Amino acid sequence: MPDGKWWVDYAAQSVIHALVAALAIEALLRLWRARAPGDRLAMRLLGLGQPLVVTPLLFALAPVRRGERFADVWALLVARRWQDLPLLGTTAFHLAVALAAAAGVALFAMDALPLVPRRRRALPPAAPPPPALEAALADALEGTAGSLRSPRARRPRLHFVAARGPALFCSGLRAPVLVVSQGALGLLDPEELRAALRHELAHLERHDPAMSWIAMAARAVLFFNPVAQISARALARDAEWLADERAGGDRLALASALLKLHRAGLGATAPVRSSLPFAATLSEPLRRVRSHDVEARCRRLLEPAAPPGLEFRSAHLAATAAALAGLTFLVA
Amino acid sequence: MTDRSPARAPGRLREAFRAAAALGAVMAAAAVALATLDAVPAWIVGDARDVRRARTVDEVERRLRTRLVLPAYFPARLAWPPQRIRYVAGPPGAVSLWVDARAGAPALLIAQTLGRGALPDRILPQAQELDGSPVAVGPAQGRLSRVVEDGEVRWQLAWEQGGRSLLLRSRGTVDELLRMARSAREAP
Repeated sequence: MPDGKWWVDYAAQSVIHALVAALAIEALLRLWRARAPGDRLAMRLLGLGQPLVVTPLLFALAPVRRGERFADVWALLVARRWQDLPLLGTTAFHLAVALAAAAGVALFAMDALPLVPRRRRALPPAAPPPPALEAALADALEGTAGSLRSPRARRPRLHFVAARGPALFCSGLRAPVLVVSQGALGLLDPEELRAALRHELAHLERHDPAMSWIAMAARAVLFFNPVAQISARALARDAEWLADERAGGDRLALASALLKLHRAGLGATAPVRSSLPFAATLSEPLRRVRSHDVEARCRRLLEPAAPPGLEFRSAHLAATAAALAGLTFLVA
Repeated sequence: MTDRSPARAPGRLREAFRAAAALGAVMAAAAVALATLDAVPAWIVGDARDVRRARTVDEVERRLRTRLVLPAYFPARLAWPPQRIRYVAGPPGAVSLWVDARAGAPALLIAQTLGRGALPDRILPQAQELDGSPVAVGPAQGRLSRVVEDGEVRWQLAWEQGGRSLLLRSRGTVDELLRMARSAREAP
């Protein structure tokens, strides 16, 4: 194959491997009727692991894949073949790599730019929490005593923000924090507040705040890969579904709380995370995606019970990982 | 609690088989899609799948890890370097180089294998031989023939040298062709 810069080949392989893995996993999730969020999360982690782990390993440890003989005899797809097609003053291969990289950077920027450190503190100063909130948290902790066993999830610090905008989320890498705003408190009735707090406790038990930073680090590494960016977003959505299921309790109250907070969030500026003007522009399409996600979550919560998990889940995962690694070995 | 009753065993086996079949089907579909994507550029440019393009003689020599046998004598009317280079990795591997005249039209085809064996048709433009006769190319015996390519008669000289099959096809004169063939050697 024609000579070229190694990082162009690497980027092309990373995108194609991620695409193959993501499409195969979506197809498998449907064929296996895997609806449990834990199963979906594990499968999507496999998909993200493809460009993050498998592609670098193949690139570094299998130089045979760069040979002419491999390209002629073994390879299913050699991306560089598209270099033979001239297109718009360059080649189809280089144009596709450039477009994919631009899409990857835009998708990463949509989520990363709002996290850029600003002069304002990330969290406004805490106000003394109202007794109603403390009581709701105590109720939620009481209600989750059976299902959420980790002490981490059972002793979060409450950070009450006296602001009118709606905010209710968990945070904290080492010390878990539950952030609740006055606006959220005013929106939700006691049942909804309890359900929403249980959802956040479920996140804390799974260390989701730390996991989300790890996912963001993975996205930063794969900033050029649009498929990995979309896969990571799908992972975040599955983590929300999983927290919904693990929260237990009143599913309808959680759906109602979710809708109220989302609707209020669409109309108001969040009191805690104000984004840069540029980031706000980029984030607009993302907002629509979030609306769709909330809709899907509510539909799931309207079902009376959580969907059953896959039987032999480990075997499913191992077979998928092996098959994907084998398939992408043949994509150079 | 997992139900391990024998009544569920056939159902679980069927489920496992269904899951394996789905995995196989998805991977097969992905393999077919990838192979199709791989074949598209060759379909569009009209080359065989294993025919590659190179931009320079240096590049093709580097890719194939060999030195090409090239004429030391090169008529002034031809414009070096070659305008088109195609190769197959083989084995034994083969290369064809198209050299244009300074006026611009394609004027000379240099083709060679990288080991013993015939030149593969897929890197040569189709041509029909009209007549031919043996001719000495240094110590080797070659064949000089007239061929029709794209409706035009050209001279073609084929011979073996250093374990390689070589071919020159030109719009020029026989003398020019023989002189180029007799001066052919591996580039230092």
